[in-house]
Amino acid sequence: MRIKPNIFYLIVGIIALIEVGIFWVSIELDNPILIQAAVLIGIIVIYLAKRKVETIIEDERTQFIAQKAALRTLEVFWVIFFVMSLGSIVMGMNRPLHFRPPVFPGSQGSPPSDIEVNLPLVGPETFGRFGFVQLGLLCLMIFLYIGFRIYYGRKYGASEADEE
Amino acid sequence: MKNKIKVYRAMHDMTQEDLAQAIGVTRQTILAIEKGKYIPSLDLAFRIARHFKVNIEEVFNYEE
Repeated sequence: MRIKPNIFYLIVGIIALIEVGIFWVSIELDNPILIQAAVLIGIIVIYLAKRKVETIIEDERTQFIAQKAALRTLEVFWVIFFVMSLGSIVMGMNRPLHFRPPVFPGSQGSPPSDIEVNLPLVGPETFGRFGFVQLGLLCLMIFLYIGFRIYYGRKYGASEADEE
Repeated sequence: MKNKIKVYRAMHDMTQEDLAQAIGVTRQTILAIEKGKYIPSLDLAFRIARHFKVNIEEVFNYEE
């Protein structure tokens, strides 16, 4: 069964809405696997639907534009990612990294009972903050890619109004 | 790179959409080639020429 391009874009929109809902449910249930599985399934469904589109929506020109945009995105993004990572490392190096457990001389390695030990918090909160930073960078990458797609689309394309 | 796709389309009474479907690309690609914004690959250039049953140099003309 073949589908029209508009139906394909409608399917993509519906999947995106469902993903937002599942994301919310995933937070409510405190179940990260749910949204991870939903995103993977959603992407697979979109790829399968794309193969069923009856008219050609991709050809050598669109692939060429996508390649150029992806290359430019990578060229810009690695610099941003490198700068962000360096900044994070400097912030991290300024504090104890806690790669090893603390050693308490004279008490056989265990902390004396009268000392309060504050170990770094490496729990869901840390992963949550890390996730937000990653998502922010991913959004930046997507914006860069879309911007380059638009730029190269105009450079190597033509507007819809020119039909004859 | 100049081309005469528009002329050959007119001779064969074809729209951009007709030609695009016949050679398996999008209409925007035909439009971009006609306007000289996109230079097609050799493969696509041969497909276009063969569709009009002419040699490639009759449709495409390279100018320095």
